Amino acid sequence: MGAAISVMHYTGMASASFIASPVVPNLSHTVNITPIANYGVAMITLLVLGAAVVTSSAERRAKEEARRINQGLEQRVAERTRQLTAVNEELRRGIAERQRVEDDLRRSEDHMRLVIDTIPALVWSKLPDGSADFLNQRFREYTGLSVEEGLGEGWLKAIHPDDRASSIDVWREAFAGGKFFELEARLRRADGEYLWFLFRGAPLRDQAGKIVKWYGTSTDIDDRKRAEEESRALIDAIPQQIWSGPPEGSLDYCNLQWRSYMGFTQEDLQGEGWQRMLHPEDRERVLNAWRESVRTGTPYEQEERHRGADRQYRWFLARGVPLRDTTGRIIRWYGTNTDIEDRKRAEWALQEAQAGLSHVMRVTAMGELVAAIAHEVNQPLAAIVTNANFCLRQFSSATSNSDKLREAISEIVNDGTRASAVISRIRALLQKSAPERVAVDVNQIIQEVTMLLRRELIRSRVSLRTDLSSDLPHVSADRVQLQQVLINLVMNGIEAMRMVSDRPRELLIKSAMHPDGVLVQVQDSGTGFDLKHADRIFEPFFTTKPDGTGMGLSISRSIVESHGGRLWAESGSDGAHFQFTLPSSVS
Amino acid sequence: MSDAAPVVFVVDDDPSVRRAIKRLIESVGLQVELFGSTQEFLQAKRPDAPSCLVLDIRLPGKSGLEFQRELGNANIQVPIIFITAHGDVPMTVRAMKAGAVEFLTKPFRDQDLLDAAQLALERDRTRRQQEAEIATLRERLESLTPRERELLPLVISGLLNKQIAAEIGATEATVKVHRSQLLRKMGADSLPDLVRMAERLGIPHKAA
Repeated sequence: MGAAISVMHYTGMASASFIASPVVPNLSHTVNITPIANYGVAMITLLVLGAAVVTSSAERRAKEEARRINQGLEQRVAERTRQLTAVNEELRRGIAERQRVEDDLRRSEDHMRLVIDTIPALVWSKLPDGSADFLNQRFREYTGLSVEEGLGEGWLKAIHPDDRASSIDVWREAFAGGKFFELEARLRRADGEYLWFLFRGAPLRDQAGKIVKWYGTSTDIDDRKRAEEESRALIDAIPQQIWSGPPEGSLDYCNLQWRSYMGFTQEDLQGEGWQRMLHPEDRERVLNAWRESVRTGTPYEQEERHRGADRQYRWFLARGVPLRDTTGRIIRWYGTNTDIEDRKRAEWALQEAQAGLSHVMRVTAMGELVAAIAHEVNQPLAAIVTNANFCLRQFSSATSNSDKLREAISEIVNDGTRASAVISRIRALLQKSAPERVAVDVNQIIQEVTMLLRRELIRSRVSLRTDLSSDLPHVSADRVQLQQVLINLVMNGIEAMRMVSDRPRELLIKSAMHPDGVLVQVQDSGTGFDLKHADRIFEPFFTTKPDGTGMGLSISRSIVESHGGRLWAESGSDGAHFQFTLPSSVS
Repeated sequence: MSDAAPVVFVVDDDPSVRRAIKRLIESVGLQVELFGSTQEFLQAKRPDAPSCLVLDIRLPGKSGLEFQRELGNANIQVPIIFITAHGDVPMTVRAMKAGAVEFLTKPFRDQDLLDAAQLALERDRTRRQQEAEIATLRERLESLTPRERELLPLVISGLLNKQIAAEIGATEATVKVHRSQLLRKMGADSLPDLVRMAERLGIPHKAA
């Protein structure tokens, strides 16, 4: 207690301002109270002098002299007495003054003690070795520790066991460096409950600059701390990955959701640590986009794959926004990652379903077509075969009838012609189902088809390259039919590379200007095809594939030709090249 | 046994196919009649001769299988040879179960069709013969007097004339006359012959 008061002497500052102040002022002067003692010495000297005057006696003759002297003496005594009285008066005043000063001092000390014990803070002081030598009444009341229990190292017992070691570390460091310190720790209340306190302490130095003592306060921050904990718990609990970081684009905080997803600690993520969980294929795109956002201060939004603790990648929608101060300067980035794997899968499933649907539609249409063809073509074939058999019988018969033979053979011719007409009708039918002719951007069709077949390409481990010439004129075409042709050619390409294992499976789709309009090429790195089949592959029902219908290329060619273009194939050592031209719509 | 020449009916909606089949079948000396639809077939006056039907299973309107059922319901008993553009196993099974003679896939081997036609005609011929025999027996049965009809179940049950006489309240001599008349009218050479005829006509024994 005394120490606290003496601090106030030293500083001449109000206790409140001292306690609240984070900086201890330089204490460079001392108050001297010795003048009060000097009055005592003077008084003793005068008393001795007075006694000597009273005890001296002289002869009669000397009586006159003596009386004169006496008178003089009396005069002097009176003078002295006056002086003495004055001095006494002075002394009394001095004593009263001292009394008053002492009273003031005591009052002030009482006041200070009252203040220190009353202010809503726990106040303490410690010796340079860290042991407490003062704990204010509130401290003692709060912790329920007596003065004896609390002083020295005793107060440490009131710090929460989990916070004790870290608190001691902070103190040690502060004491070693002699610097103002601040720490948060839970302090046990008398009833056993722990509340969060903010401990702040500052050193007091003597004139030589040596630390004499540490003074500090502990403030109840439990409400704030609990609110913080609650919001942290909230941030950790919501099913969303949350992150934040300084303006320059590193990360320094990721919530529990993200950390546990990645199996990273807060430290693993620091700075650029988080980038380790990016999918290698996304890394460049993601980092570029992030750098761009950081540079321009525009919100960040990317779909990216993040590796989980299970080493599996999932798709996330990552979003980040900058928080700015009043001057518009970015203070911090805040962001979220939303798991969109399921949505992504649904999208793919949809795409696949769409692709599948178009495939099913093709197959169904093909199935119906094939059934129709089977029936339509089978009838004349049955007639041909039957008639031909009849002819054979006639030839081996003794009684062959040449009229009947001629009749049968001419029917064979007719039925053959009829079968061919059926095929022509089917082609005409295909061409007839193309009423929609609009101006179409071939590159866009190519992109649509590659999107549609993306999964197919991935599944077949075919890498797709496109080399699309910009500034192509539009062509007048039926979108769906054009897609059908491209799907056909791409599927053929994929199919052709199924057996390729000694070199990359690559599919190149090129678009270019052509004298006839626009040229589209689909090149695969398959085995190509036998040159002798170069024309036959476009015939209906011709197929080199075990499960092919033999209609794909035939239909494709019909479609392209119905658009006024050409479809042909070339085969090289590096695979098959299918290409078609389409006239531009302006011509 | 029947005097009428056998006929092969062909129902196919494709005239070219029809003609070719006709030509082929005629080349083995069989008569062929062509129909463009099942309707035509039903409406036509078909000759009373052993016959069979070559039927395309895929016809406009109703399927060949349906038509097969219809014929069965109408008690038109003609052996059917199905031809189809595409071999369909379940369809084949159904057709064969319903009594089809053969199931051929277009284009079929000529010999297969001819063999099937011969088999079908043979089957029909047999059926017709049996039907004719029963018709004759029925005719003979009709020619019996009421007394002779009364006697028939008793005779085929193996009763003696004496027993029959007691049964119908006549003299043994009278029974003897009736019995010989009965055998003669029915054209039976012997009692066992008469028993077989009665069985075919569905006349039950009448045990004493």
